[in-house]
Amino acid sequence: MSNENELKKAMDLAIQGKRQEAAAILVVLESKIKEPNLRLRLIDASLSSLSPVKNNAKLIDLAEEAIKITTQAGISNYQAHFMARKADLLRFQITIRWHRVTSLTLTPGWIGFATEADKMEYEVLTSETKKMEDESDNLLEQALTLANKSEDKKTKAYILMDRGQVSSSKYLQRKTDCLRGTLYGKLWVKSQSCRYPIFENFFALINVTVRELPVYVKSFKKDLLEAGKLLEQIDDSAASSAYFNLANELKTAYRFREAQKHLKKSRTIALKYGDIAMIVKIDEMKKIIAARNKDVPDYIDGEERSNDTM
Amino acid sequence: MAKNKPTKQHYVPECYLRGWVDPKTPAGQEPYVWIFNRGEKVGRKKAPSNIFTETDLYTLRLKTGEKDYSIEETLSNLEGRYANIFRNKIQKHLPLSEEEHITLCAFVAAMLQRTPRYRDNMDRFHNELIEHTEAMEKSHGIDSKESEKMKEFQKNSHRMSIVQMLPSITEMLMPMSVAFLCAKRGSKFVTSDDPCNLFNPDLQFQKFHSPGLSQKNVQVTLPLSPEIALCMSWSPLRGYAEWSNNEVEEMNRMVVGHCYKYFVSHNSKVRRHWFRRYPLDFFFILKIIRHLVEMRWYKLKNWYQYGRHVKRKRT
Repeated sequence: MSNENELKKAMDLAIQGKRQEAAAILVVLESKIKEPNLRLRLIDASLSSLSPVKNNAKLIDLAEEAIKITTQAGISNYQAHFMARKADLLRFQITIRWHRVTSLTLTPGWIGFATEADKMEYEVLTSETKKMEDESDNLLEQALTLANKSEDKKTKAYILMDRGQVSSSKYLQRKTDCLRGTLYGKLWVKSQSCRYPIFENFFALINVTVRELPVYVKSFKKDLLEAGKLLEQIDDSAASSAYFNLANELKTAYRFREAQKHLKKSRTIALKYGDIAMIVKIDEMKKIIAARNKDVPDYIDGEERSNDTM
Repeated sequence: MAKNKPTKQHYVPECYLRGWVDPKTPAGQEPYVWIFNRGEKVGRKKAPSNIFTETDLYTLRLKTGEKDYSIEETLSNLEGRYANIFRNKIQKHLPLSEEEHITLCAFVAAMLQRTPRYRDNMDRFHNELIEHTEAMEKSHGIDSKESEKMKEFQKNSHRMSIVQMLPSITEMLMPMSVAFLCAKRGSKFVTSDDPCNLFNPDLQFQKFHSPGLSQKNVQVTLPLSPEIALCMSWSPLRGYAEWSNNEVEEMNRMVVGHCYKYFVSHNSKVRRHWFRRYPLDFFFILKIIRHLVEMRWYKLKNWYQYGRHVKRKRT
């Protein structure tokens, strides 16, 4: 079978929701395909099939390569799409570094570093995180400018989806900052019921960072809703994914009622287009929401779920 | 001029003990610490140079009959380097360089092994081995060559093990998180004749396993001065951190409970809490109750499965 046919097969598998099988083929094809057009398709398929946790560094490199190819070819809407994908992928690297940075200063009553090695690691990680955060924000801004110029609704919708996910990731990071060292932080870790917004607002009002939290929630809700509407306007089945992602982020923020509402919308659209793989994912998500997040994977520890986001 | 031979050897370094000198020592008098017998609440004043010493504790006896002081010299060299680090860095809450970190780990490794408790444990183990060997030799009617060899080995076993184990224990301590716990005003740390303590909360309700450095939740604690204590662990507890009065007293309870024969304070006052067997913590009490209930349940289950079929002998 030619490389092109293999790639088509992998893309079909990805559409059917068989991401692992698709990823296995794409990994093999990665070193074989060099022709720019095919390479772009391969990268696009890889970005949606390979695990964003396990293969994060590789996916960032691929997105960077795609940005270069599209810039040279002058395909601005694709360039914008890959920029937004890279911005989203960078968040994982930021989160890992941030986790390490916070663990270096996590001790209650912390007043200073015990070793110069810890201090140096902290400084390096902080500067790397800052650099990556700036890069991620800049990429999203540039991508949106390019999408607005090209007036391509689909591209804009995808960029908004990525921006929504970035905001959601920022929301979680800020939340962790608020929790450190406080009694509420300990309760939050021990008890599920302390993670609802009403408790967060009540207990953490003294912390300035907490006031930023609703801003992030509003931001990702706005972006993902707008993405969904844009995709509905152009009659695209991906609208279902936009609402699904919104439900997923709202679930992470313990806004279950709203999550259920958007999941319902996502299911209606998926039914309209007969997207069986999507319906299966929506049903799985329904169960997670019904269980009120009692079964959340530990990504830092290497645990993963294949159907978290689309 | 002949050099003084260091026959009087400290198993808890003098430079370390000087940190616990009573600040109210009258002028003109030799500075002293307050030393208490284990379990007793009345202490006595002693100069750091006069306590926790033994003659020729680390002196090697060579076959020629000569005495070798190289272990004592190595240890005092290490103590000197540690004292500098403590004075210039730890006391000022400054981060340690890599070399200083290694020295601190080596000092902790030495403190874990150099005490009489460690020596007595080793001796007890060797004595048991020798007894078994002698019994076997006797029952098989062979000469006591092996048991004599073991007796010969035992003479220097503690001294040699300090030197042999020091690099590997230091290497194990190196990747652990280092935390300096700084006591808030109002409470001070105490120390003892075996100040370096290995504790694993997972093993506290059983007697079969002892704590080890590679265990996930193990913590190595060592009070460095009345104001600062060292805690090494695999957890993210790292850096200089302020420790509340209750936490300091809880650590003192552990030090006093773990001491071999004596504990040392910077003043004559003791706290009732130091002599308690369990901490006064609501969640810990719940843990104890849970453990007791589990043990009762386990015994009952065992009795139901096996015991009820066995008739008791009439006495």
